[in-house]
Order: sequence, then structure tokens, then C-alpha cells
Amino acid sequence: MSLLFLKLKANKYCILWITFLLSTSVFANDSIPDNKFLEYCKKQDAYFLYSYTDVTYVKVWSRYKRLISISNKLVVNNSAGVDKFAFLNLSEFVSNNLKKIKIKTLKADGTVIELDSSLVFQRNSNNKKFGSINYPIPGVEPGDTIETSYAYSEYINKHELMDYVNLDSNIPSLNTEYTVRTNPELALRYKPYNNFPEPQVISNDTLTYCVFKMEKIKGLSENKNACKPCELPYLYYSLNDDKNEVRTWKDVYNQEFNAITQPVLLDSEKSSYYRRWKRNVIGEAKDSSKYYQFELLHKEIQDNIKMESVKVDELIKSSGYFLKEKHLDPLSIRRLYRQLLEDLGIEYSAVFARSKQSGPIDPYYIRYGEYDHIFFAYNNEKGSLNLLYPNDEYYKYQINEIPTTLYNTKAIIVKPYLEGKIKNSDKFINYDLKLAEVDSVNVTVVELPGMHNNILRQIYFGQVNLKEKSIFFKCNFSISGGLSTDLRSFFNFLNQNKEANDFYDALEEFEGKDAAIQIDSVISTHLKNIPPFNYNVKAHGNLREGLSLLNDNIISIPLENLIQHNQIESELDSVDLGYYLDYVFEDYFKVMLNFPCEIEVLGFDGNKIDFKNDFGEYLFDLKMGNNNTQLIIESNYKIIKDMIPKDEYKQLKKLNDILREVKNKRLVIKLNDL
Amino acid sequence: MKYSFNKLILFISCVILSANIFSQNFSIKTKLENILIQKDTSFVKHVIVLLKESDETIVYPIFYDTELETVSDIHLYIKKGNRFKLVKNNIIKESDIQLDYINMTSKKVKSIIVPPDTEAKITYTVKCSELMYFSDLHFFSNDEIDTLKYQITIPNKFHFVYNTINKDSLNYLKINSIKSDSLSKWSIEATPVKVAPNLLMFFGIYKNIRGPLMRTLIIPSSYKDNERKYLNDWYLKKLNTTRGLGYQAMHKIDELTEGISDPMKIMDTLYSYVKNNFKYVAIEIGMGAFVPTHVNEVFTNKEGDCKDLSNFLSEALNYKGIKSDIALAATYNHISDCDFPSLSSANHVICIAYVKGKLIILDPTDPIHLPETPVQSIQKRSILIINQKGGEYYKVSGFSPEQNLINYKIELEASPEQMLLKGDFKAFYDGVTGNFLKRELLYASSDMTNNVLDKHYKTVFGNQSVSDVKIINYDKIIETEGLLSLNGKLIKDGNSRLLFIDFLPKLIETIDRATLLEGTHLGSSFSKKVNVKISMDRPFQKFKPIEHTISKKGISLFLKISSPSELIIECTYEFMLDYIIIEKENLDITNEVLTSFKEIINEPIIFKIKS
Repeated sequence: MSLLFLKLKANKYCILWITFLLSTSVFANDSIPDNKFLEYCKKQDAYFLYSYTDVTYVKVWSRYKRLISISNKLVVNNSAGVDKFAFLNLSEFVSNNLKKIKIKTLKADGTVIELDSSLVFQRNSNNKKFGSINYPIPGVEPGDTIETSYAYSEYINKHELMDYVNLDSNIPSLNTEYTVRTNPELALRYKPYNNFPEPQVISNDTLTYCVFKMEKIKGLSENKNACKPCELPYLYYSLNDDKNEVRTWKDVYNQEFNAITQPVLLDSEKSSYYRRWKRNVIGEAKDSSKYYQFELLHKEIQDNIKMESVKVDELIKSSGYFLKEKHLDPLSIRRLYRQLLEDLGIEYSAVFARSKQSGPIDPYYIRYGEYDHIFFAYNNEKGSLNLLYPNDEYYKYQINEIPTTLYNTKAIIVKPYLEGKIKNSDKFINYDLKLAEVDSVNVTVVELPGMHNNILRQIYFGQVNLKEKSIFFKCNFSISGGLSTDLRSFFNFLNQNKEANDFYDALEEFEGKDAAIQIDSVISTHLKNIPPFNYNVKAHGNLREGLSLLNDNIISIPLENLIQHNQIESELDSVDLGYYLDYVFEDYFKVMLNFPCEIEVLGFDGNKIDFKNDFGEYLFDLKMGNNNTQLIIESNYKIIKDMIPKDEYKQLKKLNDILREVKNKRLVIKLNDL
Repeated sequence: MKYSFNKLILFISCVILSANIFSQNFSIKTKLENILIQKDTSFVKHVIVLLKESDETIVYPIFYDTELETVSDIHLYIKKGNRFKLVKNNIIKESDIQLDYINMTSKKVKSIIVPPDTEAKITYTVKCSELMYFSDLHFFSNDEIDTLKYQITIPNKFHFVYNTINKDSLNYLKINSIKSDSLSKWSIEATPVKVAPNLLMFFGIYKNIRGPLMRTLIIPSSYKDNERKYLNDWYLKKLNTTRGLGYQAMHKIDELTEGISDPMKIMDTLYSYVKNNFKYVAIEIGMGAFVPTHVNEVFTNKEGDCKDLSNFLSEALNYKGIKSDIALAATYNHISDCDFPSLSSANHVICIAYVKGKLIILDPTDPIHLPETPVQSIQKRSILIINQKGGEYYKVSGFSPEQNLINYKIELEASPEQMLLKGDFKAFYDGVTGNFLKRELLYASSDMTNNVLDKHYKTVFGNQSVSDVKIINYDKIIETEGLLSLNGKLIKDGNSRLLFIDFLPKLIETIDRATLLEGTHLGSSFSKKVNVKISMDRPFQKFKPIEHTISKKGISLFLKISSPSELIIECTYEFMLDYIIIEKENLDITNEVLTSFKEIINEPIIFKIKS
């Protein structure tokens, strides 16, 4: 399908250059001196003597074949190593595409035990396919070496001639290599990141052979906040049969954006409802600006159309069908947004982005299928950029609300160059099943916005009832920014997923850590649909375990029961990888306790703690008010950097220790003139 | 075979979850199983299930073992008018069962898709070649079943024996039998108990596992009234095919025990060897779920599950002249005790050694177990020792609370200015009370040991600051010591002082909860003695000792706070708990004691400084 309206002369053509940023070799494992590395390895559960991955690409007719050979030798040092590593683990894909396999246990006494691979695969012989394999490697005892060698192959398409290579592992390795071999007809491009060492390349008339290699690699334990591509060496490579052909953002737009956003006109069932729905929603606002009209339509989708998972029998249904059925799915909402933007005449762009944990996007070395977030952007009437992220199965995004994992990451905005209006016949995928193709695009590299107001605010107004030994609370919770997005999406997920909800209920029951303040009734909730998406809840509640009256005029309240903060965990003594958080945040807690008499707080010599280090802040303040009949407690936990390097992890521990010490204290309140 | 009930529940949960029928809530009007025992020791089950109408599509599962059973003639009928009409080409999906702790299994599930808004009938036939596999009839279900019927037809050359457990929870159970010249027919009808899926089992809490169950055994008539011997002989016969050490195994055993003549030391050496050098691997293919792999294969592969490793260890001990048997057992989380001769009674196999007139239980799958101490998973349970004498039941004892003693000694000093309490603590774990620490430390690398200990003692002391925790002794007794720093526990009020003792070591260290849940396994019965001495910075007026005593059946607490001198405050408590699992019967009293303890330690000691 040719879209004339998108044809453009060469003046806007994006020329993208592949840059080879080869740098001097600085290894990630430089903290361990070479001469002590073997000693270090022997103290671990296991280590690789070597670990080799050899990948060969060959052209087979119109497709390509990738043959992957794995070979390694693993020394198992202790029983824990045997339990963890003396198993052959193969994915379902690998086990179904295996070409050869040989697994041997090299015993410390010199004997060899070979795994009978027919035993590994015999159990599934009735099935057409094998499942994933987790088979014990026989004869392995502490001190033995496991020699693994297997190869598998797969047929791939031209756009799959690429891969991501990282040589790190949770097991230390003396020598790890990844080799790529192909014939010279396929041109190899690669780009190393984070000081990945320079490869050895052999190229002659018959072979291109490239060795990516690292030695003495320390075993790394991951943590849930880690981002390996943010700090560890890795590289991407790709192959192309045309040395001069490089992938452009126009290709990405045509292939990866159009495929998931272009509306379809293949099924007429209820398709006419689209216009009726649009007309009804816009109603009297038909003369207002197109941006306002879009906002109305967007709000209607958010308020009244539920999200479901993609169903095969609805794949070719029209937007009208989904609107009539009052549900959308992650694919149909993209098509609907595009249809609405085009119908309203709002020029839009495609945004290509990558989650922070997947590593930064590279605007100059463009690879197929590596953008896990593809959405819309358009300029509003004031000329500023609006981001339009489509709802997913469990969460509805407001305009300018994006997943927190994209905060402050680099993204590419690709805008097709338009010469005129879009023709109706070019808007939809028709019976020829061809996607629209643009001829030229404008490309802009942007940093996606983060949120500055990532705040959780809990404010409690409490009335102490000494007769009933209880405290009645009026509560006001508000969350904003990334916290609003994350918490609302989590609770939406739980509301819609019974299995997950039941699991979390069971976990909560098992942990038995209930908040001290029990919410009895929610009075109101309110969500603002503009950044920072403030979500406010007003509620009434009680202190769960009431008051401890120590004697007639002294009461005690443990602060641990009162103050609840969302802390970044720091249970380990040290970490191997830094913490990469989606955003900085502030968790503010304030309680005002009103007493029927004057009070005096015992034991708080320093009523104020104001701690700050490079990565966080903690403020605790205890004040008296209202003629000494009111106690005001403020506790504010802040994370002020979204990246905590592994070497600075102790600063996070320190921050958490300060909070723990405060929570360990008790309020001992003396009641005067009772 | 270890923990098979646990596996069964998880297995069902996993399948249910994977088949997306977890959220299903289908109801069955009648389920009828017509079981025909064949003369050739096989059996056939014809099953008819009448499903009530449901708003949603039902995925009805049939679990079976591909090695032992064949499932055939699956038919789905839906109701049209007053009749059920056969659905042609009904959809049946088959999928593997995958579990983390079984490396390979021959179990599969067939799922039948039943359309919504109609009553339906499912019929199918299951044939099984191994009569011993007919080992139970369930009277509980996750589904709502109005009536459950079993009809069993048994040729007269066999005899049917059964034992029903937890039948008190059944509202209706009727058992009839008729005997003719050639066969006997049993008719069993029940209204089964609906058991809600309990996700807490993912966290090791085994609540509501005691469902009503009929354990069954079909024995040849010649074994009538001798069913234990039948199971024993059947198992022994299977075991004999797996025994006979090869040269290499014998050579290794000789090498390991060279120069050792004391049978106890030989046993220790071989036990340690199997525990440390053989990995736990469960491959449950057909009867391989019950019968061990040959000892030489276990030796060569250095792997196996409880039955494989126990059988190898037993054979190794016998080879060195130490009499040994293996025994079937039921762990604490199994639905029944191993006190009836049916394969459904057991979920574990252990090794028995007879040394110097003593019966010693060995469990090579428990890496921290030491000989002559209780195996924690089978304390106070029965085991069936498989031997040449027709088998023998044996009640496994546990250590008494006095033998399982945890002892804390804490010495603290008050600093004059900051009202800080600083000092050190020593903790001793006798008997099997330190096993939980051993398990936590088992796979912790050396640099993680301190982290594990710090985290543990922070929890023990109510989240206070602990540091420099070290292990002093790590053998039968575990001994640790560390530094303790308490802030905000000593509060000035004019001339008075308020001392909070909420840092006292918690009563139950193995569970991080204020109160316990039904189904919690405590590991062992135990007693705990805690002594805290706090030296004050200035003399105070001595006070009358404060004492609290709570004593209930199987649980007691005595706590005393005193001032032995004008500078010392002493807090001591003695706690005793004499059960292993929190069950309905002891849940309330346990939580009452835990709550009372919390209330006591939340109350400060108030005393006056001497002017």
C-alpha cells in the first residue's frame, strides 16, 4: 500500500550513522586482583573454567539459519554448588531444536560419567514437542567438574540477524567468550556499551570471525533494583547482506508502529457505531477545539470502557465494535487512538522507548524489535508535547501519564512528513492487508519526563478517647507522580486478577503485619487527571491496638505501630550491582493527636531528627500544640537520587537505620490535670 | 515420595492455576466411580460426573499417571431437554504437570472443556495395571459435590481392607457390601467435604489438610487379617530388585570407613557421605514414585530422592555389618499418619540403623540432621519398618521441651546521659532448637553468614540494633553471641524512671508473627530460658518483684522482674511449648500466651532513683 500523502523528497531523510564506540578495555571485575581470582573462585559454590558461546549464521534460500553452540566447564566446589548447578537446564525452544548434546561429569578421581541424553528426552516421546528440561547431571560431587557441550539451531528472518551479548553471570568465570562467524556476504556491525572490550576480528574471503571475550569475570548477585545494562559491559551486533543498508527510523515507524496502531477495515460488524459514539460524546462541544474534543473522547474511554486481554476472534474487529461492546484491548485501543487523532486532524508522532532496566535506547544503531514501549505523542494547542500512552489490560493511563519505568529515559519521537490530508483509503488496513508506509520522517531524540512530585502523604487527625482507650482518626492520603501511577496500577491489577489478589491476601495473612491504623470507612476518593495525577482518599479509622494506659496518667504508643513508610529495602550488607530506581520520592507522614487535657511527652530529649546524606533524607519532628493538648508528629522519608551506586549502598542502609531507630522508640505521654 | 501431600496440593494448585480454572467455582451433582478389580491384579475405573449448570466455561481436569494408567472413552454430554446429548469432537487438552521439586514425573492432566449455561455429563474410563496404586478414596474436594459414590467390585480371591481418617467432618457416609460366590461388591456413598484451596501452603502453613480420606488396600485372601505383612512383603520384594552393591560402591564404602571399627562412627561416616555427596533429585515415573532406584545407579549418579538415598544408605550400612532397614513414614504435612498399610499413608522413606542395641533413625534428605536426634519432619509420627519379620510399626519420639532448650543471657548497662542501654548477649540452642538457624545458614555463603545472623537477632530483639554477631559453637549445641544497643527504652520522669522491656527475646523465634496461624509447623517442642541483667548508672529504690505466670495445657510462661540490688534490674522468663504444630486445639491458648507476653513487655517497669 502506497500512501502518497506520506511521500517526501529527500530533504527530510534521516541519515543514521553506525558508530563504533570502541574503547579501551576496562573490565567490570577489576576489583579482584588477577592473582587472587582463582582463590576467590574456589570460595564460591562453583566457577567456570571457561564458558564459550559460538554463533554461526548461514543463508538458507530466502531465510537464514543460526547455529548456536554452547560449551563450558564448571567446577563445583561444594554441596550447595551441586544442588544449584548439577542440573541440565534447557528451555523448551532449545530442547526442541537441539542438534547435539554431550554432558560429562569429570570426577576428581579422574573417572568420567556421561549423561545418557536419551534418558533426558525419552519421557516426552509421546508428545510432538519436548517441554523445558531440568534434568540432574549424574555423578556430580563437590570437587567435580561438569563439562557441557550442546548445539541447537533456528531458522530466522532477515530482521532477526542480530543479538545482544553480555558475558556476565552469577557464577564467576576465568574465561568467557562469545564468537560470531559468518561468510563475508553478511556484513557484521556491532556496538559495545559500558566499556565492553574490543573484539578480535578475523576476516578473509570465506569467513568473518569475531571473538568477544572477557576474562576473570566476578559472579554477580542481582537485586530487584538492578539494571545490568546500566552498568555492566554488553554489546549488540547485527548482520546484513547489504553492506550499505542500515535500518532507519522510517523503517521502524513503518514496520513497528504501523503494525500495532493502524486501524483495520476488515469486519463491518458494528463499525458504524464509532461515528455515533464520537458524535454523542462530543455533543455540544463540536465547535470547540480538536484537542478539547479529543480530551472528552479520552475521558469517556477512561471512565466507561473497560480493558480486557486480546482475543483472537476480535483481532480484525473495528473500533465501532469495541466501543459498542464497551471493552477494548491493548491492540484495539492503539488503533482507536490513532483513528481518533486522524479523524480530529491532530498530527501525531510515534514514540519509541525502552524500559530503564532494558538499557538505554540507541538513536544511532537501530535494531529491530527492541522497543518495549511504543505510543503516541502530539502537540497540543499551546504547542507543547502531549504523550498518549495506551491503556493496558490492567491500567488506564491519563494523557501525559507514562509507565514509571520510562521516567527520564531517552526516547525517539518519529513524525511522518505529511504533504496533505490523509486519504480515507490510507487510514485503514484493507483487504490487501498492506500496512501504510511513510516515505520520510522527522526524528527527534528526547528525554521522557520524570515526575517531580512523587509524594505519598498521609495525614491523620486523631482524637484521643481516654475512657474507651481508643483514638479515632480522620485520615487524608494522597499520592502523586510515579507513586500514583504505580500504586493505582498495582491495585487495579489486584482488582482484576483474582489469582494474584488471593496470593497477596495469603501473603498478607502469612506476614501478619497489619497497619496499626485500621481504616473503617472511606469517605471520598478523587483522581486529578492532569500531572502529577494526584489521587486523594479521605477516610475514618481507629488505632488498631488502642492505647496502653500504663497507669492513671501515663499512656504509651510504640512509634513502630504508628509510622509506616515505604522504604527502599537494604537488608543485605552489600550489593554487587547498584540500585536503579524509577524515580525519587517522598513519603510524608503526619499525625495530630488531640488530648482532652494537657500532656507532657517523656523521654524525647531530642525531639527533632534531621538526617540527610547523598541519597536520602529523614526528618522526624515531635511538637506540642494547642496549649499542650495536641501532639504533632511528622516523619518524612525521602529518596533523593534515583541511582544508588553499589559502593554507596551503605548510605541507604544508614538512612534506613535512622528510621528504624526512631520507630523503635515509644511515645510515653504524661497526662496533666486530668 | 517425600512430602507427597504437599506436592499433591501444590500439584493441583499449579495445574489449576495453569489451566486457568482456579477462579472456577463449578458444582457437581453426582460423581460416581465404578471400580472393578481384575483377577490379574489390574483395575478399571468407570467414572460418571454430572455437572450442574454454570455461567462460565468449565475446564474439568482428569489427573492420571501415564505410566500406570490409561484414560479412554472420554465423552461429554450436554443436556437437551430431559436427555443428555453426546457432544461430538469435544475439546480435550492434555498437559504435563511440572513441579519445582519433582524433576520428572509421568503425571499429566487431561482437561475437558464444558460449555456454559448447560448441565453436562462427563464419562471416562481409567485402567491401571498396578493394584497397589488403588490406595485411597477421597471424601473431600475443592469442588462442590452433592453426592459422591464409589462402587467397588472385587473377585473373591482378594480381600478389601480400609481405614477412614478424619471422618468426623463428614455429614454423611454410608458403606455397604454384598458378597456372592465369586465376588464382593462394596457401595460407598458420601457427601464430601468442600475444602477451600489454601494459598498459605505456599508459605509453609498447612491449614485444613486433614480432609476425610479412606485409605485402601486390596490383599490376596491368603493375607486376610495380615495386611501389614502384605504391604511389607510386596515392598520388600520390590526392594530386593534394587539391592546388591557393585564393586565400585563397596570399594568407596571400604575406603571411607578404612580404619574405623566403632559401628557408631562407621554409621556417622556413611551418613555424612550420603548427605553431603548425593543430591536430592526426584524422578517419579510410574511405580518409581514408590519403589527406589537400584543402589548402584544411585551410587553412580550420586543422586536420588528419599527412598533412593535411604535404600542406598541402608545397603551400605548392611554391607559394613550394621543391621539396617528402611521405613515408610508420613511427614507432619501429610494428610495421615503412617499407621495403616496403604501407599497413601506414607509420603516419605527413611533409613533405620540398629547400633549397639539402639534403633537410630537416619534421613539422608535432611542435610542438617544428626544421628540420635529427632528427624524434625516425622517427630511423634508412626513409621512402618520394612523388614523380614512382616513389617513393624514404630512411634518416632521427639526430644522433650527440656532437651530442646534455648537459653539467653543478656547483660546491659545504662549510660548516664543518653539513656542508652548497651551490652551483649549470648544464646545457646540445645537439642534440635538450632536447626532452623542451621537451615538458614546451610546455603548462605561465608560473606552472607553475618547478614543472616544480624537479621535474625534484630527480629528476636524486636528490631533493635544488634552487631558483631558471631557463632561460637556450631555442633550439637549452637552458641552465638553479639552486641546489643537499645535506644529509647529507659525514660526519665523527674525522679522516676520508666524501663521498657519490649526488647526481651521473642518467645518463638522461628516465626515472624505476633500471633500464629493454624497449620504452622514450629519445628519442635522446646523450652526457653532468658535472663537479662541491667546495670543502672545510679542507685534506685528497690521494688517488689513483679511476677506473671500463665500455664495452659502444653504451654507455660513464667516471667519475673526483680531488683536484686540497688543497681541491678533482672528480668527472667521461662517458656515451655510442648507441641510441634499449631492446630485448632492449641491455636487459641498459644495466641493467648503470645498476646499476654506482648502486653507484659509493653508495660514499663517504673522505679525511683535514690536521692
